[in-house]
Amino acid sequence: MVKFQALVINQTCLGEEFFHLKLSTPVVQSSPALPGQFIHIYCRESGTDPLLPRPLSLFRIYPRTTAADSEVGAREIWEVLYKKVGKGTAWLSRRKANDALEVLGPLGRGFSLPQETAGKPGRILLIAGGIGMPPLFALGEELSKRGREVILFYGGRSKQDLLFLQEWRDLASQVYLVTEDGSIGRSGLVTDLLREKVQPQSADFYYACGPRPMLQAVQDLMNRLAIPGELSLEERMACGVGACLGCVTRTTHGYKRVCREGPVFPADEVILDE
Amino acid sequence: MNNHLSVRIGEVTLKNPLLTASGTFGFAREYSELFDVSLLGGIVVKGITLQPKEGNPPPRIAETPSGLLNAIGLQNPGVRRFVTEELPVLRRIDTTVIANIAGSTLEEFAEIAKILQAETGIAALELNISCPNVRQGGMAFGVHPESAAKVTEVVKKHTTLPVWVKLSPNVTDITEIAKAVEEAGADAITLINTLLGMAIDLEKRRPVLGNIFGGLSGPAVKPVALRMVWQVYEAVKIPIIGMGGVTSARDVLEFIMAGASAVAIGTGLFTQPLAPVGILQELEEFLVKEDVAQITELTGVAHNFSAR
Repeated sequence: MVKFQALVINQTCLGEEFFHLKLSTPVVQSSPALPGQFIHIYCRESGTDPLLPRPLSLFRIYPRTTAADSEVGAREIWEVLYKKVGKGTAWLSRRKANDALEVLGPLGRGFSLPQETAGKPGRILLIAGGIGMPPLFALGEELSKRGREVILFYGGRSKQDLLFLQEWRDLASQVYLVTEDGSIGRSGLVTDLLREKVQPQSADFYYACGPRPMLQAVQDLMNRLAIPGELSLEERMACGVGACLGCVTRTTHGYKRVCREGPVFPADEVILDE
Repeated sequence: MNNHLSVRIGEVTLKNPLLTASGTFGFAREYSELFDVSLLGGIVVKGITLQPKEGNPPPRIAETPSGLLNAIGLQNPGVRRFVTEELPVLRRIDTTVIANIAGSTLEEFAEIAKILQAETGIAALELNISCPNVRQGGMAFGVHPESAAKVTEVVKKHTTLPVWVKLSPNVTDITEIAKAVEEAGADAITLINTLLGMAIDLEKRRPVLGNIFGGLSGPAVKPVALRMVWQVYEAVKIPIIGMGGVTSARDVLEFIMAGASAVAIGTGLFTQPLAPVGILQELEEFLVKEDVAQITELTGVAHNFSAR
């Protein structure tokens, strides 16, 4: 992890609450950004309000390839998707191209990529709930680069919550959408559809990110289907580097730091019921 | 390293007055990845208990306007693992290390002090008698002059290290406690620990923190902290380490002028992880600009003003 200034390449508003931010960042040789990792963005001009940075998962990670590269040194593009919910994200949503942002990252432990089993490319389930989708997209891109078959289950409150559907259709062999109000895809919860479509042999592994109640239902179902997986968690965070012990979550090995040992944990280690 | 920033806290010499506040810096491992932590005047480590401690159930933190509520509950590996796993790493850092210790009984305080007495690489003990987030011990010792004095006395008996006592602001008269621990042999006073507070989650209709109450830190508490440093400076003769809401060199200087000999940054690190680097540079510039030879000359100067 490194603290640095990132430059805003551009920012797009997706509907009224969601924003897509593209950042140009110096390449961190010592710790390359991996799918599932997150960054801290310090959302303020100066002063101390808001006091704490906003943790955002990386949505896409790729090398920058423009003519200007040689002038600025090796750089990488990091994209994030976020929902405007408070003062910090409202400030962030007003940033424009060429604005500088204070960033700390990449932080935490990302998804572990499944072992290549000789001659047998396994199928992978990606299970996304609402604004938990972004880290799974970065992962999906990496998995498809490695020739894995990816199947997406994506749930949200309504149509406006489901983002980058065309890109997902290009990436995944099957895309299952679910909304609570039925405005797109099936009506209901993502776990309803999972229960219907997934059998014990349907997939080798799964990755899920979304609200806690969803993760708990997914963990429970997949456990019964004997499909191993990983969960990406969210928790209130302060330092982001593992020093303050503010963001812990309960696991089978005691409290673990979401910012350091996580945000991605083996699904069978996380204890989600309160 | 220039020496006009160097300060003395009793027999402990610090290369500059900037410390880290206990509980915000772990055992220095994490921030060492971000900047050269040896430039700090000293590192005050996370509170150490006799037995390993799991800490409080999450959520443990809540952001408030210019403030942070926390209820970590002293999660730490215990004094023995501190000695075997953390202290060797800390010894390799070229700065002063202060061990913050927290007992739930007088006997535990004594026991931890005894264990650390056998170790090198610790310059002083800081007694945590002010943690608002644990059921036993913690703040209970720090809110009565008699018990604060008793803890100080007991630890002094079991160590040859200087003993700093960290006070709670959750009291009616901070000077009573300060005078009691000075009398009992404290070598320095550290203040303030966090102010007891809480936050409510409107959607869930319950307190945000798993522990219900937590300790408030950050810029929101700075005026209270400064006031207490000021009062304690007038009440005792031993050195004061001031803290509470420090994010800039100006904040550090305010604490020093109010009476602190050294100042700690804590929550400010979460706001700006590289803040210590900038603060030290600006302190340096301030001394040059104001033509001050030694930063120690500034301790308590604000008390010399003429009221008319």
